[in-house]
Amino acid sequence: MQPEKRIRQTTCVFAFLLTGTLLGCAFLSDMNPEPIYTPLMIPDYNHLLGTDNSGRDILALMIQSAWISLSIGLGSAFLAVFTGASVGCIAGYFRSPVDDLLMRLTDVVLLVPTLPLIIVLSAYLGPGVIHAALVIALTAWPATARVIYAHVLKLREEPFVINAKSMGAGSIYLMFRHILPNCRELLLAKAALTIAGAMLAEAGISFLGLGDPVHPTWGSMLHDAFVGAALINGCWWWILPPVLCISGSVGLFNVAGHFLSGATASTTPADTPETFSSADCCNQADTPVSSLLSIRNLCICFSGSEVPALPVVDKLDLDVSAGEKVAVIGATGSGKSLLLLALLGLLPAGAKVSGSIFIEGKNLSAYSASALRRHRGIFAGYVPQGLGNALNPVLTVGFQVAERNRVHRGFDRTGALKAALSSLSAVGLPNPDKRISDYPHHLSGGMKQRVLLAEALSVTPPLILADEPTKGLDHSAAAEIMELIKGLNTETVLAVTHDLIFARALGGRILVMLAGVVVEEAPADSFFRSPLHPYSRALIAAQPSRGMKEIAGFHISGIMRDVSGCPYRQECLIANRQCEIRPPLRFFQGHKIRCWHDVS
Amino acid sequence: MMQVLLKKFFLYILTLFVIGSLNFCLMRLMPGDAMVHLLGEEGYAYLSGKGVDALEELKTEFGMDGSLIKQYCLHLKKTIAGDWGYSYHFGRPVSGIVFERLLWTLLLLFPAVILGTVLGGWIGALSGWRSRTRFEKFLPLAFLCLYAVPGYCLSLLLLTAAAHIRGFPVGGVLTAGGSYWSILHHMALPLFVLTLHGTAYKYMIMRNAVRQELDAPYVLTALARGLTGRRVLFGHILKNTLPAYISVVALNIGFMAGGTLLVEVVFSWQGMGTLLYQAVLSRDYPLLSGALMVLCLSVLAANLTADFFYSVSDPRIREGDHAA
Repeated sequence: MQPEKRIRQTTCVFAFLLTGTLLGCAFLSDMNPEPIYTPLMIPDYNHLLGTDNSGRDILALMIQSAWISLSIGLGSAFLAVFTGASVGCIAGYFRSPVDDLLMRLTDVVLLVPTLPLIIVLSAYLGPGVIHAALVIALTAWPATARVIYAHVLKLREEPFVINAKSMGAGSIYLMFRHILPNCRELLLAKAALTIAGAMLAEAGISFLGLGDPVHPTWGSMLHDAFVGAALINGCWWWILPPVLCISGSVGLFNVAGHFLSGATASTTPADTPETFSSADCCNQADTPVSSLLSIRNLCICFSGSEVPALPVVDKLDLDVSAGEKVAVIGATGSGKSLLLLALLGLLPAGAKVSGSIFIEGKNLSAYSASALRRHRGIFAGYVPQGLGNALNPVLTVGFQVAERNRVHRGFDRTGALKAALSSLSAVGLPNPDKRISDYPHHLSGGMKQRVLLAEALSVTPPLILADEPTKGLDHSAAAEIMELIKGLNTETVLAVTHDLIFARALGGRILVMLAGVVVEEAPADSFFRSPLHPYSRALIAAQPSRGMKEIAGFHISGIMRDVSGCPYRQECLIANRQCEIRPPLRFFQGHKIRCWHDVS
Repeated sequence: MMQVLLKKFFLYILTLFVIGSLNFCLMRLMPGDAMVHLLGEEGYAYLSGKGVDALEELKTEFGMDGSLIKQYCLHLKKTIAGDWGYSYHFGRPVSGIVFERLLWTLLLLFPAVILGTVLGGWIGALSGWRSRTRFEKFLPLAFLCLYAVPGYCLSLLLLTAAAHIRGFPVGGVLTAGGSYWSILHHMALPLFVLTLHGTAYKYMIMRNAVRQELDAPYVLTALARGLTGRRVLFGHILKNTLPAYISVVALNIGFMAGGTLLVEVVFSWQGMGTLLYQAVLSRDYPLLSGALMVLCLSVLAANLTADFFYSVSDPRIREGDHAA
């Protein structure tokens, strides 16, 4: 559901419920709760909830209290949110020195324990509905102010604010017409939470006997019950109703607040990438090939909004023998990275996999959990992109490089660190003995990539899976990483990349993927000399060294994501009716291409 | 790092100053006789019964004949010196009473905060890690409901449900001639309630924090290393979420303290809660101000400890470098 719609619906439901309750209470509070019955009667047909020690009907009292409790809660929350929003908005908009002054004040009030402050203030002020609301509002505004402040800081740099300013809008106008309306979702969520907090605080001080004796609230009902020794006499009907009312209403507003702020709403659940969802492995009949790695008819799709789900990787076959270097190239979203994750058994949950992956003749889906971990740890060394937080920011480089050896090879701490040191120097990290105790934020992008490579190589795995190892690096750093990977003689390398220079330098085989489908497979030399598939040609021609020619169709927008035809048919210059049917992968001039036409 | 800590420390001093000034404003500027506020209702009644001279003497002692500014300075001086007035209800100086009672409150609050932090963090982390299973979708709702029930309501429910919970006293601190075991015995129920309530809040914080980390690239790297889920969660993810978790928990201590006060009243635990209750009933104003001051002090001390922990636990903050 759209967030906008969700908010509107929740708000409507709540406004409706609240108005209903308030009206109902105001109407019902005509019922006279004055002491006219026998005290401490057990609930019966006449008094559904019994009576208290002064003979008041508890149901009538509860309804009368509801009106006052809700009013205090709503009133003080409104005041608090209004004050908080104003303070946050003004501080965020005007910045220093107004900002410093107001936000320090906010911090101070936020630090003072709320309930004791409310108790002391209301002890001085004396009982009263207005007093209670004022005191609660006085202590409740900083939470809203903090949140709105943070949001306004972001908003004031937005183009629409700068635009309005450049047209001569005044500060007040800007704040009320442009900035605050953009905080309304946040304000709504905060308002719900503040109401919950305010009702909680009111109940608390009333329970202590600081409430207005003329206007009973749920809290003061509890106070009467507690002082009236309801516990010792076992008068559960006297205690239960106010407790349930307080908890119920606080809970309701809390849930609304959390729901509105999206804290518990799970639109896209972040899933643990733990399970390898081995769906029907239909092609068990395929005899395992004796190569290091062979993939048969691999399909990956996500069960999501699209109906029917379109495969992200579609019917992929690949054999890699020991020592081979394979580069998978293609545009973003062509399913390259998912291929690597599938080989590790680390696809995001929700991914549906069919087909089979054989590692040295053994089906990956038949691996036990611990065998799968060993496979990840020792057999397949995964090298993620060095950009961003691929290394854990709060653990040292040494710890992370040593971890594989400690977990899978049973090295002790010093032994693993020693091994880490040697693999770090093997990838040419300067001053490895110093760097080993550094944290990742000390390293440059190129260094991080080296560390990640060293981490994967530390157990000398037979297979290296590299995910865009040169992405985001400058030319010289990329060239150095390229040399390192090229220099891996005994290891089999399967690298996924955008970088055509890297793919060419790696040698070996090239696999071109488009919309989850392999469109060309060829030896690197021959591929870069004469690419055959129209899409490969467009890709090569767009390289800077080839004059960056923009051949028609090098746009991801023109790629057809369906299962029936050639994914490139819309942009292809030589496409015809035949291309509505997906071409098979066939041999042509030493390449495997997926095209009906004999291009040359 | 020192700079950050110093900044925080300055903020805490400022907070204490504001509370001290607030006490002054309440005593002198609220409607009613300032002498009543300074002595409490009982004290005022007692002294005015003794004759006019005693009151006049005290007026000069409090500096009531001087200007407001002079009075304010005197008030601040007394506050810093620990002279927080005299409680006629208890017949003792305020500072003595509040610090004595504070110990009993801390005896409840401290274990409740620690237990709640550990339990809530642990369950929350596991629940965030496994947020896909049906059970884990139900659990947050259960904890949210639990969180909505205030501690004292939970206590009342508990006591109503089992009017005499076998083996556990329903009130008081210790039975006459009791040993340390007796204290533990009396602590059990209030501590249980406070821990349960604290766990619910911390569970939600930790769960959300872990869920937000799940998509971080380093989690994939760690999993690709072939580590067990347990090791990835407790060795890698938790190390990243802990600093923020601790600072949220620290800010929550003030709220927890408020909850403890009310629970104390239900179980007639002789701590700050019952003290405040008695002070409110007898309109013992100096005691109220002193109690507020000492509660503030302890909450700020807790925050300072948490700040210290926070700044040493994350290497990026430890080195004063905020770049990720």
